[in-house]
Amino acid sequence: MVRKGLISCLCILMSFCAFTIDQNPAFQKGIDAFNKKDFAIATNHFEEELKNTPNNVSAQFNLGLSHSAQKNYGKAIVAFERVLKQMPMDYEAIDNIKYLYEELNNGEEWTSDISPLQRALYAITSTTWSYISIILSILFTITLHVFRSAKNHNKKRLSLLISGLLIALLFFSLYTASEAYQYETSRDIGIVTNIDQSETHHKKSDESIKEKKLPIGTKVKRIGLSKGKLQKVQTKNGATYYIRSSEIEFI
Amino acid sequence: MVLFANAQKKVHIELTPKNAEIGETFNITITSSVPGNLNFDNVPDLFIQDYNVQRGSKKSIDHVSRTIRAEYYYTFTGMITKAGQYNFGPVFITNGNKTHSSNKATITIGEKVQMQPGEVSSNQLQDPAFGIIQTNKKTIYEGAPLLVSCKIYAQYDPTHVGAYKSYTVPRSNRKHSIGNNATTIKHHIERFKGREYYTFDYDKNIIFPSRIGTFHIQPFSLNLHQGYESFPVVSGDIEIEVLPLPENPPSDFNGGVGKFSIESNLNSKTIKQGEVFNLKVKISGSGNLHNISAPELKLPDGFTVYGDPIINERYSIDINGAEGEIEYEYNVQAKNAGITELPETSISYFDPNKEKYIQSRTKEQKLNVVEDINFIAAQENDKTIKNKDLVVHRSEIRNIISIVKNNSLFGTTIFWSSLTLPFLASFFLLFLTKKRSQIDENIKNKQQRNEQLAQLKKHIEKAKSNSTTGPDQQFYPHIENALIKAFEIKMNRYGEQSREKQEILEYIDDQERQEKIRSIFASCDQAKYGFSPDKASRLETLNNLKAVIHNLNIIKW
Repeated sequence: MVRKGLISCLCILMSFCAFTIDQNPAFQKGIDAFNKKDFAIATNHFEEELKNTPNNVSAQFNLGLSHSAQKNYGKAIVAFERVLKQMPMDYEAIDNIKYLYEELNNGEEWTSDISPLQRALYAITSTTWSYISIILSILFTITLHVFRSAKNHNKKRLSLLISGLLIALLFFSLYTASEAYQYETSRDIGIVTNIDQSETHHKKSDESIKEKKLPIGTKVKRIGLSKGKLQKVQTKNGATYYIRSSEIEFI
Repeated sequence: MVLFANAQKKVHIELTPKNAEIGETFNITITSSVPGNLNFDNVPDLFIQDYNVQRGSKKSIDHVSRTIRAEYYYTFTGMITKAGQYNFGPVFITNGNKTHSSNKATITIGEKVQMQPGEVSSNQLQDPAFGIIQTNKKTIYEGAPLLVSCKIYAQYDPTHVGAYKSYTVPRSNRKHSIGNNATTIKHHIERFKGREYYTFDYDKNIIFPSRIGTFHIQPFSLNLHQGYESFPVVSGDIEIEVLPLPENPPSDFNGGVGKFSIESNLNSKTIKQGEVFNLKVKISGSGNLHNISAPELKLPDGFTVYGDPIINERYSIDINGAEGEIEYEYNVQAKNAGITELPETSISYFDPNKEKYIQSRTKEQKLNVVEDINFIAAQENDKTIKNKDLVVHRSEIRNIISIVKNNSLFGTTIFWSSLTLPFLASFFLLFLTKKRSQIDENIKNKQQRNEQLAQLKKHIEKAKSNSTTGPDQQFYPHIENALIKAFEIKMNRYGEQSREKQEILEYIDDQERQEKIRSIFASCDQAKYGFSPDKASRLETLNNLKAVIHNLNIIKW
């Protein structure tokens, strides 16, 4: 019986591996093109791979490298930021982003949106925090029952203490799960990727719009809905701009 | 740079600062690469020299010629009491038969800056000496220089200052000292609040407040001596309002607050194609010159700036703030041949006197770039080099697929159900347990009630059977027991001790029934103590019991 189970598990695992290889030919093609230094082709393959498997972090990372090799620094920053969104503790991606800002040399520098502690907590993912919350809620109810049924005074006190600790942990994990979920799902942070073809619009007042270019790599926050081709954004120093949607990619 | 200039000139004279106000102490430094006798006679007539003279020598290694070089220096301090421009030097160093002359140095003496004093309390005025903090302005714009100094008033002739503890400013702000803060003092007599005082300024500094809002200067303290006697002086504090610069500055605003001008200079008007030329942009003026940023060059296509500009700073901190010039030296390569007009470079700064942003710009300059065939060929070769050969990767490509699950459990129905399920289950379990114990209790009560009813029936039956024939002891105890049992059942008190007569009587509201119960108990008591009632009384007692039990409605008689 055990043997049968093991064999079936092995079969499932092998079929899964075969599935991943068969299902990701674009990924392999991208790697081949990258190794041949055909970075434009590699970019196309990695983009195709991400269309099919948007959560393939390796493809996202490789896409960043391909853009970086072609000196598309804005797009490369976007790709690495997306890697960070999915894997907040990917320090290689952070290093690459910092390097790209150095290369851009336009006064912009990478600043993290979250603290190192938040980064470590969000890396555990909202799903894991959700499971932890569920386990804690089960443990909490068990300790409550122990407290209710306990006749020994010491046992009652201990179970009450553990219940208090568990409820505190439960609230912490629920809060962290909510924050991690928000970090994973929000699409409000954008990077200026292109300023060659058009200009950025600085809204001075309701009547007049003054043109001003934002440098590539500028991190902005989406505020409000887009109006036609223009998107209202805010830079980290609090200035508000209208920027063309084609010039910006949201992470 | 200075050393190199000195090496050529041998004797050099320098004044610091280059701008001072009437009565302000300034330094004259003479450096010489040769020893000898100094002739320091070429000084303005109005120059009042201090006794404070320093002289000495220092040795340094010249790494180019690998020789040890000696440098002799003389430092004088002094002041001038009338506004104007004054020349010092040339000074002469005589060594044997040779006389070496120096350059000339100029200082501009301005009118005394009007200072605004801080608050003076009536208590301070009664002291033999008191001090205040004074500033040139009470309201300034952020970035603008603020002149701060102490002013000490004494009713006695002070000789020197001791145990001086300077006024303090918020941490992020640096104090730039102006003038000479010697412990010996130069005072004059001044009338203040109707009384004459010996007074003098002390510890003059320039500060560039960096934050808007209230800028708080904490008090200073010192001991004001007259020979060996001294009086402790502690000043009050002072607050300055720092205003923000107007909103929406021009795009070429370089952070300058003061008065500035910009000019540019090319090292050559004609260059070969591909050559790197030197474009110098100089910003001069006074204000927060040390805090301005480099101007942004506007160059036409075909011009490439190499690296960051080389910055040459030549400024000093004086009563007007940072005064002097900063030169930005850009290395630019011209790739396209032809006569090109280099566009003007502009900066904008904020003038606190005019309270608006002012733009200053350089003149356009023409540059003739002569065609170079070799450079064109080299350019073509460069183009053939593929980009891929120049790429430097900071990371290795990732060959292993790593997939992160995007569908978060958080917020889903499954999540909230799973989270709340233990709580719900817990409450449900609690409810069930409670319900079950209640049912058990009901069953138990019902069993006890049945037992009681059976006992009641038994007592009634026995009482009935003995009502006419049996002795009293076999009738009345059953009557009494039946009555008590009936009330126990009615009052839902099972397994408890027998009810007291009084309790049973209190349970009944009806007067008539109470009388009947009393009569039953009386008959029972009579029988108990040997006063046997007659047989007819037994029947009456039985009927009374019947009536009571019937009213209680617990069994059918």
